[in-house]
Amino acid sequence: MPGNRLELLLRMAEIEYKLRPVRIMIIRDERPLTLDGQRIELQKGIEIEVPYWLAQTLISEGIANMVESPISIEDIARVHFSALSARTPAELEPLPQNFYQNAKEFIKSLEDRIRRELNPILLEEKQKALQYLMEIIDKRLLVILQSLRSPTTMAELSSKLAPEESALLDTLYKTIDLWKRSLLPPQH
Amino acid sequence: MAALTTGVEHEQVIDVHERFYEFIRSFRDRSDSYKYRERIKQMITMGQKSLIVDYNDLYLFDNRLARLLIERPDEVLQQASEVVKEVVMTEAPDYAETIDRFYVRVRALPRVVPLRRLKSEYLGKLVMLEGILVRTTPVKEKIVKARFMHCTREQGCHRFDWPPEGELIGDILERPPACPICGSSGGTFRLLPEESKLIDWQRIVLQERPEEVPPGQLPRSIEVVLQDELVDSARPGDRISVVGIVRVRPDSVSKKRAVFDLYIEANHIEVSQKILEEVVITREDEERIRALARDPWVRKRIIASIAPAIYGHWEIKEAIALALFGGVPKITEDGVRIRGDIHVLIVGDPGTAKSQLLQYAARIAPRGIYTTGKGATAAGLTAAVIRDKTTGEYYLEAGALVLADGGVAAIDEIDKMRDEDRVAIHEAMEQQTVSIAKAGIVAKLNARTTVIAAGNPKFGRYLTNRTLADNINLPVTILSRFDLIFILKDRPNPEEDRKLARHVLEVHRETERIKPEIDPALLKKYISYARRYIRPRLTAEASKLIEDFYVEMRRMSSENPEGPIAITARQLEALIRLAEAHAKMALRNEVTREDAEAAIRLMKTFLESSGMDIESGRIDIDVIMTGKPRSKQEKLTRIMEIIEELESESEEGCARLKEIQRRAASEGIESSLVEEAIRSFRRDGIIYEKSLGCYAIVR
Ligand SMILES: [Zn+2]
Ligand SMILES: [Zn+2]
Repeated sequence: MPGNRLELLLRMAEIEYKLRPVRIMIIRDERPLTLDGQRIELQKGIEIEVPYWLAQTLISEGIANMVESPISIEDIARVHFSALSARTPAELEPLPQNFYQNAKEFIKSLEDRIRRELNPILLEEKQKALQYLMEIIDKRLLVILQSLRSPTTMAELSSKLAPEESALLDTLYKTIDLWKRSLLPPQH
Repeated sequence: MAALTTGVEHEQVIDVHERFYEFIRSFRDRSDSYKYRERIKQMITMGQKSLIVDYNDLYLFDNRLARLLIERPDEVLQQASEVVKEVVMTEAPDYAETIDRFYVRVRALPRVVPLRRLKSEYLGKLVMLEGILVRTTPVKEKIVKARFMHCTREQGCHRFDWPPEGELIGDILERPPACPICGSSGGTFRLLPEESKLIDWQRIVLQERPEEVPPGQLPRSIEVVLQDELVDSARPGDRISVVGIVRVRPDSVSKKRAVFDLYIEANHIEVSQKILEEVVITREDEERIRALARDPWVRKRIIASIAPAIYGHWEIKEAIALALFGGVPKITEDGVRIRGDIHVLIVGDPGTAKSQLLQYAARIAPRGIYTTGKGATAAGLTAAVIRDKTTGEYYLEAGALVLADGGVAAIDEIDKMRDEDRVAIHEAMEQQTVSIAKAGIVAKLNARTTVIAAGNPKFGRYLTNRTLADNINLPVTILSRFDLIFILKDRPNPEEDRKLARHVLEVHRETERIKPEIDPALLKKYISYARRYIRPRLTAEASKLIEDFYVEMRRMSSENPEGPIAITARQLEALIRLAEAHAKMALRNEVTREDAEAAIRLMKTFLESSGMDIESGRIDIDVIMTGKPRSKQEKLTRIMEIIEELESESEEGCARLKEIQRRAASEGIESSLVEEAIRSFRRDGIIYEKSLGCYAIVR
């Protein structure tokens, strides 16, 4: 079923995101970990590279800090600007790497902070981020749907799509193909 | 208030005035402070009239307003300026009264328009451009509000301001069609400049950065008009980003009415501080760079990657590699700046591979420029004040060493450089600045540039029985500023020739096979990375080695009291730079014994290949540099000192020729030599004629 296939592709994009290596700074001495047979030293002050899921755990335990700067509202605004400036599929720009996942996590982290701090500015920021993200999705979705009517546009577009978007385009294309074939008499 | 519509998404009506007022009043940043209310307060305290707005803030506040600002900047900026005036009126009415016009300046648009893509579709829109400022005109005054006197037989004379409130004067001030007071179009209209309102006005030229120019094409450029506070906010050679409105004006050259030139009316300018960040290094690149540096053979691989199609010349390639990495600049305790840049000169017979080596060096150097001694433009190697043939206007234009500030200038045929550059290049190579004062333009520009140069022998071939100074058409004062000089001789040597021929044939047969060890794109990133992050320090062991070598060279010369001094402090500085660069090549933070040895080896190669004293067979740096016997050299040094003494003793700050000759004569130096010395010092840019017959040292 195409529906299951899309779900599967999206799951894969998520797993890939969680497995990607990120850099963290250890802020507390801990006993070393063993991961896939590899020893990971947890020594205060050193910088190491670990899979994102492990980084998240170490950070939530207060053992490490993220070294890379996370996505900000300004980054989302910049993407919003470029997405809404594109008038044709040719003008559409590729998203920064892991954009959807990062934006989702960013909004989630704002929600966590709002629950703790009750800061109206953070609330405003969250609403803005959510609104921008939805507008980016709508705009890019529109372009993806437009491209389905022309194979050349589709080919041109595919290099600019995020994995999540490619998954959708791919599924839609296959579904339409299946549907068309089912309406036509069988070919010999 | 004017309501404008965004033509972007849906047709929506925005009250620009109201929304912008709301933005100033209510925008809070993450630290919960009212950013723009604060900025306006600060603007008032500092006595300024510009409010700088971060585009992103406006976008986050109201993206439709922010888009409208890009689509229709004239209207939005006009409204915004009025809003600022209103706010200042309530905060500090007295201050508001004193300012005619407040400016809202916008910084950091989300997108940079490449100079090459700037087309008429951007007309009237707000854009952000990045490039090098290559040219500036002197500051002029432009009329923004003209006062006219109108005289008719019937009404007599009366004055009025033009154009009416709310309108602006364009490039051309036109006579009013009719008098706003009496309504008559007859009689005489006379402009009263001293009663008109003027603002500072300046034209600059922005050019694509060399790294953005597609191979084999000329860099594109565009004119930018600066007004009021923006005037003189950047200098030629600066890398700047400009936010401004795209405008047109009739083409100045063809004078055809239908042909127009695009130009930018600047709204905001920022000078980029990050010299080496134009070469983008991603995390993956960094991994590759680090991996490369771990290879114990990395230096050999780097050297082998420089112009791989050229056979041999290992030492020259090594010297070029070291120059690309550079030493560490230092400031001494008494505030003297010692350059970190390593300058290399290759003197070679025509037909040798000099040009190819230089072109390759410029290609892999961050901010690399390849040019010839004559210079690619009228500004030559340093800078020049030039008169525009069509407008008659003077302007200051940056030359190659200024454009390559922070990078590398590869100069072919340096012996053919212009006389003006011969004077100015001393300062550029040692103090790393270029000073100019001509036609009302006074400026000091940065030229923190590594020079890798090549020159042809004066007599067509390198003559081994002559000194280096005799062989190349460059003054000794310039030669002595090079850390390493190499002679590329095209001597007949059957064995070498056969190898060379085989190599050349191979290259032509299959260009694919002679791939560089390291891909040029990666090598460029590697070099940028080293220049950006690596600052090696001398270890005690390396210091000792360099010091011993230096002392030994000086001792050798003192054993022969009749002989010249073999080596000078300049070579000591060069040795340290070379050793530092050698450490940088492997991304190491310490200068080790091995680095010092490499520096000494190269210095010896240089001295032996070019500096052997023909009679004694000894290494003699004075002969390399000056080519003159010591006694004469001593006299010249003494004349120089006399000029310095007289200059500091005199009230006018210069030394009179008669005085110099008198003092020289008292020490047994003949007058004719004084005259010769002065001619040569002036030619080499050491002294200048401050007033008639009175000389001062160039500092
Ligand atoms: Zn108002
Ligand atoms: Zn009148």
